[in-house]
Parts: sequence; structure tokens; C-alpha cells
Amino acid sequence: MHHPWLFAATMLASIFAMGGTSMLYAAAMMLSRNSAVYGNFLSFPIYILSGVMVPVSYLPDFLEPLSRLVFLSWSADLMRDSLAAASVPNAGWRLLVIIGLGATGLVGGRVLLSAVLRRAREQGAWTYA
Amino acid sequence: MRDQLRVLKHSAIASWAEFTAFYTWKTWTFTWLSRLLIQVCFYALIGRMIGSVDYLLVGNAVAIMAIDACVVILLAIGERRSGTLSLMVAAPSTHLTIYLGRGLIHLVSGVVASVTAFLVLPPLFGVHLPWPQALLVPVLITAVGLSCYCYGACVASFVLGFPAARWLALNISYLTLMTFCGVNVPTDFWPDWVRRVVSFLPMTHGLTAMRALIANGPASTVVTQVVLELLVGAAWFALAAVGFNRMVRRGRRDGSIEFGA
Repeated sequence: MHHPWLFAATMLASIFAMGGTSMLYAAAMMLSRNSAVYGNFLSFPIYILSGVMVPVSYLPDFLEPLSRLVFLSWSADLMRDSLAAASVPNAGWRLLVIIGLGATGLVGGRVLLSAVLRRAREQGAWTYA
Repeated sequence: MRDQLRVLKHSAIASWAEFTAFYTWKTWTFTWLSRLLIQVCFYALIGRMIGSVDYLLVGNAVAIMAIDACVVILLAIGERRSGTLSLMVAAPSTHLTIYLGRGLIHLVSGVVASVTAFLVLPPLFGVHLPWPQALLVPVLITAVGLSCYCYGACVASFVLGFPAARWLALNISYLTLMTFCGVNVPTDFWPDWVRRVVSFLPMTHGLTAMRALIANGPASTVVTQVVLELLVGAAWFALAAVGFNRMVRRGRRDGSIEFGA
């Protein structure tokens, strides 16, 4: 590993972004009574869009911009670059993008969660099980 | 026999009612079917990257059916947990018919998903299916599906005593098929002893038949491999029957047949 500090920073930023994104998904899942099917659906699209297993360049052109909205695509690229000997271009900015996407998810998730909880209170939709 | 078929019909109707309570046609299409199609795309993209798109696309288009077929493991255990086993033991039919009927709708779902994958995805990835042989694809998928379903039922019969392990059993069951039965790597890749074991697993022969069909291989190879696939399925069916009977006998002996879990 040629850039261990960058790798570690990317890992930390990715963990934060994962938490933020999960918050957004969790809040969105609360909108459905059948959230398991939506949760099950998400895994493979994210594997594909993130370019973790297959580079994004193998995807159809129209999907490439969409993959830039998935924090994992930035994380995977930056981690791969941090393993190489060459200097990593725009490392700081790329880290900021990961953190920014995570923060967006966190804020969006928080707002959505509040809205979902408020709606449930107003409609009396809470149950004990 | 007529009674058994009647019970099987009602078991399948119960399965349908449960299925439609969980899925609408929209949620099935846009979450489950599309999830399976995207899974095939994922592996086909890996195939494109390593120059083996035909192999991975065909293998995974068949393999997604195994996921649905193996869901019978969850449903059979759910049936027992709902406390119906004691009533089944007292009923004029055998419990085997009911357990086997519980997942039939998922078998149909798997076959539809797999056929859809063969209809939609090959053109997207530039894979050519020979015509009119491609018309036999649904038949081969159904044969593999039946075989996988019997395999799932057999696993269910042995996991019934350990309901907490049902998800583990489901995942291990279909991942075993996806790993060893020629889905992503040819069975030749594995050592001889693994290959011998794999020839007794469902999907191995059915997938060989499918690949032979798509490659315009000899009809005798296709027919032989389909027959072998069905024989393997029949063997798993027999094992499932033994497993379910063993579970009931043990339950009668030690009083572990419960009214609810």
C-alpha cells in the first residue's frame, strides 16, 4: 500500500457516508409496511453502480453519472488509487465528495425520518408490533 | 391419490394467498423480478470484463430460479411454526403433500423470472440464442426448477428441527448450487471428488443441457442431461420424503409436535 494514510482516511469517510446513506434508506423504508422487499432489492444495483466489482466504464453511458451519486463509487476509486504507487490526483476533493454525500444522506434521512414520524403521529399509525 | 392432489391444490392456494399478501404484481415486478435481473446483469458485467459474458449470463439466468425454488425451506419451517403439524398428522393426507405444496408459487415465480431473464438480457449483452431451439428454454428451466425445488424440500425436512437456522440453510443451499454446479465456473474447475459430488446436485445437468442447447449441441446431449437432472430431482424428492417422515416419527415419539412456536 503506497498511500496508507489516504487509505485510512478514505475508510473513515466511507464509514461515515455509509452511516448517512443508511439513515436515508432506513427512513425511506419506514414509509412502507413491506420494507424487506425494498431492502432486498437495493443490494445489487448498488454493487453495480458503485463499480466495486466491475469498473463503471463497463456500464452503459447513461448509468455512469448515476454512479457518481453513490458514495461507494468514489470510495472504491480512491481506495484503489491509494494502493498504487502514482500520486493520487485531487485526493482532498474526492474525500470531501465522499463526506458530502454521506452528510447529504444524513441530513436527508433526518428530515425524512422526522416527516415520517410526524405523519405516523398525526395518523395514529403507531402500533406495538 | 385424488385426495393427495386435492390437498396439494389447497396447499398451493394457501401458498398463493401468502405470496399475494406479501407481493402485489407491482412490488414483485419492480423489487423481486428486477432485483433478480440486476443480479444476472451484475454477473454478466463481470463476464464482459473477463471475456466470458455468454457463460456467466446463461449460468446466472438459470441460477436465479434456484433462489426462488429454495424458498420452500422458509415456507416449510413457517408452516411448522404456525402450529399446523399436529393437525396434519391427524389429517387423512400426509404432511409431505402439504409441505411440498407450500412453496409451489415460488417455484412458478422462479421459472417466470428465469424465462424473463432469457428473454430480456441476452440481446442487451449481445448474446445470441439459437432459433427455434430457444423455445425449449422454458422447458429446461422448469426441469431445473423442479429438481431445485425437491432439493430445497429435502433441506427443509432436515432443518425443520432447527427453525433458527432456516435463513442460513436457505443461503447455503442456493449458494452451494451457484458455486459448484457450473454457474460461474465450469464444474471441471473443481477437483474430481467435488465434481462427483456435484453430479448429484440439481442444476449441474440441467445447466449442461442448457449450454448444449444454446451452443447448438447434439440433441442427445440435451435430452440425456435433462433426464439426469430429473433423476437427480427424483432422488432429492425421495430424500425429502424420508426426512419429513423421520421428523414426524421423532415428533410422535418424543412429543415434540407442537401446536405453535
